[in-house]
Amino acid sequence: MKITDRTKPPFRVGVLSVVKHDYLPRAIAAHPRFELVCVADDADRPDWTHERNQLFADQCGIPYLRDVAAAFERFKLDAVAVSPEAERHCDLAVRAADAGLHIVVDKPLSPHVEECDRLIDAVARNGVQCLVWNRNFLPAVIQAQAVVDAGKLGKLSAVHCDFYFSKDAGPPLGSRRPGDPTIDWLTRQLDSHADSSDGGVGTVPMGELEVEGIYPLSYIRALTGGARVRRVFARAIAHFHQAHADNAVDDLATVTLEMDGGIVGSLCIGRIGAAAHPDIGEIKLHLVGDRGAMVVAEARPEVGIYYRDQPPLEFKHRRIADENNYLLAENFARAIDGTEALILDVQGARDICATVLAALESARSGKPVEVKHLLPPIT
Amino acid sequence: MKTRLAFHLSIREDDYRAAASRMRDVLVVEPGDVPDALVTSAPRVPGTPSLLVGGDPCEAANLFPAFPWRFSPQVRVIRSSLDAGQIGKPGLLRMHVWSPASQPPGDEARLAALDLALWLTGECADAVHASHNSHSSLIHLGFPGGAMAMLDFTNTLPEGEGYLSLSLIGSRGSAYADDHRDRNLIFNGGAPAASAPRSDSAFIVPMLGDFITAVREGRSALSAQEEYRNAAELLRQITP
Repeated sequence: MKITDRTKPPFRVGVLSVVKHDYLPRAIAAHPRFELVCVADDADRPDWTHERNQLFADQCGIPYLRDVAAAFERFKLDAVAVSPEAERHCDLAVRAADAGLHIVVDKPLSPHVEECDRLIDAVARNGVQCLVWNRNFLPAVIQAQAVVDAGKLGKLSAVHCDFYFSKDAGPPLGSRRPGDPTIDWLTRQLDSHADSSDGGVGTVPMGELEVEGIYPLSYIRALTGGARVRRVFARAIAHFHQAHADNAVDDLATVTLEMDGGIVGSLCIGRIGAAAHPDIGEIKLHLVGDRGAMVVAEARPEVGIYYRDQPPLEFKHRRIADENNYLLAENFARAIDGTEALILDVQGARDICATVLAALESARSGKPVEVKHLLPPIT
Repeated sequence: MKTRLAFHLSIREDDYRAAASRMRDVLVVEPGDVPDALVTSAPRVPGTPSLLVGGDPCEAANLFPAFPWRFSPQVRVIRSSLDAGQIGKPGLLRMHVWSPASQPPGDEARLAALDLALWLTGECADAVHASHNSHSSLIHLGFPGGAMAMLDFTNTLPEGEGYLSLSLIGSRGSAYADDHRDRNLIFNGGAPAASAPRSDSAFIVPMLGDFITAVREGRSALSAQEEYRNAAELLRQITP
């Protein structure tokens, strides 16, 4: 168990916008090295944004300021937790970096690689840390990483990930009656806030590959020792949900990954509907090396709970020993202390963003697409 | 009236004979005993309806290509659920086919997996992409109706059992058949071994049953041959 110096005063953290699920700022708040001191956002945000920010601030007993710059100045912040719509992640993070603040930012980093580049520059220019949220500290992923790092599989030649969330996303595909209006993306995302399926909240519609792809691609990146995806071939479709079809974004996608060092990989990802799995979904890693192979169920360890009158949508297998949130926050603290590298920094998240965008382009064109990276291949 | 069924196989003939002997409507005979039908690993004399196990079927009306993977217990359950409309429209077939170096997943396994993809989606692929390295190959298919398939093959497992995983994601539900789920733990010191109950001969009886039915109904083999050729053409396209 990693423990930083608890005698140090906690880092003072401002929450920059908290408009979707609030797991990120709550995870930071739960760690003893951090203390939430305010919520802030821009004054010109729509009313629903202010309402959610205010609610979170009230729940935490901290003030909400409709002025980001004033929050930086007034609260003597050390760091920020950035959790707005994905399209605003980088802008708020750049402003924080330029104020000299460390950053933990929700996933995905951005729908635009240029925004990622802007943040990379700002982080480097100001010498701050920027952790991008991920799931690499789930117990099964830690185990897989340990097996790979110990050389038990030999040299990795292939890495595959299935990442299916068995969640619904509004009415099923084909359910719209003639004459009904198309589903407005933002409206549906706002409506889905109650069940936390609003990861794609924002004015720009985002498919499952854009919203969740960073998680499995982050696994693959870590397990391959940072290998970059050089070329992709992808297919993507709205197969399940009317909202995705109406907004021309995917809820099911497959991506072939051709990586540094000749590693072959693949990603199958989808928001496949609540009926398609008894739990949150089938999430698996398949690793192949020249000395062995490994099949990893990302959800394990878990406990099965079945009982009379069980709500049909309640997960019947519950994850246990999940310390991902704590370990991410610990990693962030250690990075700020200068004792550990970030498990997913802004450069890594930028690589993943570029991979996702290349995959979407491939899905549109039907052709393989080279991924545009800033850095040369790892051999 | 029993169907007189003969065998002329280069491998596993004993398993096939044993399976046939369990079938109430089949009498196992020798190839020289004027069988009603033949199960063979090489095209034989025209005239006797034959099930060709492995190998390329020529265009003869009574030479049926065998599709063993379609009759595995896992696939039969999935196909049944698909046909009943439980899973809905297929969206994604994902397969991992791993074997030790001594039993590489050669063209026969790739062909079988490609056939499953076409058979379960009910379409011919209109997009094909393959990636290979020295130990693994990955076949990525797209279909006109939007379905996709991702088929992964490797031959770097240490000596021992192989691994098969098949999942089918449909518009109304999903099916997961995975050796990972089916393995039982065996403690014999150190980390426990994980071993699955054997079911590698379970495809034979239903496959023979389907063949016998086709023979009795006087079905032509041409449509089955076309299905075989569709998978074979895909394999030709992705072979480096």
